[in-house]
Amino acid sequence: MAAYLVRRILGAFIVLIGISIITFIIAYAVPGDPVRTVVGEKASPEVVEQVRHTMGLDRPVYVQYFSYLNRLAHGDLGFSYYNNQPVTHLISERFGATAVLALSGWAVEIIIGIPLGLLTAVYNRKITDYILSSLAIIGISLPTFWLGMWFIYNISYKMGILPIGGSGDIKNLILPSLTLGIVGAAYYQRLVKTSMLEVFSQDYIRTAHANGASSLRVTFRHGFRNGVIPAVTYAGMDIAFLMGGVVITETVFNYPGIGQLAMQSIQHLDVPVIMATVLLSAICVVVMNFIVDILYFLIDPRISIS
Amino acid sequence: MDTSQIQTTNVSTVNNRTGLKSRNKVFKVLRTYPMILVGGLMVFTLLLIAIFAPLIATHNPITQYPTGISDIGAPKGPNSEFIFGADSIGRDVFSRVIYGTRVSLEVGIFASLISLFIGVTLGVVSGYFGKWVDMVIMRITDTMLAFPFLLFVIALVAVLKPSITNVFIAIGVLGWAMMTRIVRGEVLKVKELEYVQSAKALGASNFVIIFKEILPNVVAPVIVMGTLLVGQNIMLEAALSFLGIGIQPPTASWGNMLQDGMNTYQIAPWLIYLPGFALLWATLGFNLLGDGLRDWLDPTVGN
Repeated sequence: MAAYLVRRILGAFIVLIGISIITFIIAYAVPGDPVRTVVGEKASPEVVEQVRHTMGLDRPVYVQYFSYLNRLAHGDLGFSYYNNQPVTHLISERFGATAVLALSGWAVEIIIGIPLGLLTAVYNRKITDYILSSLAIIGISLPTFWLGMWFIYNISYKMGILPIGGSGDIKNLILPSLTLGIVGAAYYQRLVKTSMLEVFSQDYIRTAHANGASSLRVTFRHGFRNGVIPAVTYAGMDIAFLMGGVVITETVFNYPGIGQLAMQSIQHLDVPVIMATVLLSAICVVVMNFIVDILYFLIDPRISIS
Repeated sequence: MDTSQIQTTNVSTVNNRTGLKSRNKVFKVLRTYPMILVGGLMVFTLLLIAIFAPLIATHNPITQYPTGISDIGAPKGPNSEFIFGADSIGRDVFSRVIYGTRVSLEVGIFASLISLFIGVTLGVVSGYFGKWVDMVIMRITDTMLAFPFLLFVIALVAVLKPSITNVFIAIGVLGWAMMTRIVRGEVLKVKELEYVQSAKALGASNFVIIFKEILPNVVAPVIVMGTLLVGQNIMLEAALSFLGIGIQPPTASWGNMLQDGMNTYQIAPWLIYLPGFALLWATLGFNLLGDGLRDWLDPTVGN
């Protein structure tokens, strides 16, 4: 366990370094002069050079990278010139809203995906399976933003049942989390179906059947627990997917979270904020994957070191 | 890849020598895996629409027709002149959707080819040479997979300035990680098989072994992944254009049409139906085709 933990931590650490390098490169490659953004177009060349020096932008690239890393280590994500606020402040203001949205989207995925997976596995190659699997593949193919617009037009605008956008109330959360979750649910359906089918072909399931256990009992008591484990490992990858979906969902529903912040900062080329949002979501993914791996190891020690 | 896979490939090459048998086989595959047929037909219609766009379109996709706007300045709904209505500045929705097919396929296919090239190269090198090469490539792959893909592409396109070429380059250059992982896994399985080992023992160079013994065995999963990737990339382009950082108007893209619809759906709901339907058609077509091919080529999944 200890050796596995150490290796896993080391691996995650290397990935984090990689992430910091890539975000730094992207920020460095942004067209336009960040100094000009600060001092304005009319500043004299002397002032520009002065500010460039104070901001450390006249130093070699690798020195800039290490000072960026140093600031990151101290929890300093830079300053947003567009919003005139420290980036940490902007992000912490919105992080909660996005976490709530991502979690409820995830809940929708699980609530729809796992039962669908079970049903399609139990009724494999029967009419129920064909209908539900077809629905699932349509779900995977649905464009998130189109689904969101469809909800807004029909449910919010025409029927007036739920708010068109914004946040603050549970009602504001329903359509965005459905939009976010419906598309992802099909992935859980597939995972659960595949692994349940594998479990069903195992000896101990046959034994349970032979011992006279009812199908229901076999499916839930013997099959379910083993069949759902692979879906747990997907949760780590899913965070990456959800964070992408959040950008679109928050834009469509005008929901004040990290995704909307990311879009706004890209429109204004507000580099520190772009870097921070990309960095933060990538860190979420790494941490989540790490937690899932450890959990997985605890649930099923056979998997271990591969 | 397991042995049953290798057998299937052999059978198909044998059958291909006789035309009749191969035709029978095609029918049999299509009957056993209807998803290939349905998905294939859906993709085929898209290709036809893209190729014959000028013949199918009823209007010029970027001309703003004064007749498309009503007296109060609102876009006109479906009528005899504009069968699916006009957009907020009087362009024909139907013709724009038809021309949008070209943009979608162009971005989807070229981006996927870039990812495919990078992914297969890195996957083969990583799996075949192993050791520190594998270590380095896999750590880079892990890093790429940690980024929320959409956000990552958005950031890169913003840096590159949006244009069709930059959109597919950004998507392609960032989208290879999953392919690398899958190809590496396949190579690791094939590498230890006897015939590869014997080729090695006979003194074949790495180059020859990779191209003659290894690559033919990763073709099947690469085709499956590649097909699914085209669908994903079409969706991604639409998402970027919808967010305003992909294909820029007046060039027609399903995504930027939906963005137009987002701003005017209260008075012109027809703006969100046809482009959205076209997008769903495309992603669904490639997903069905990819899934069907997977069921056919990789019998270990889904049985």
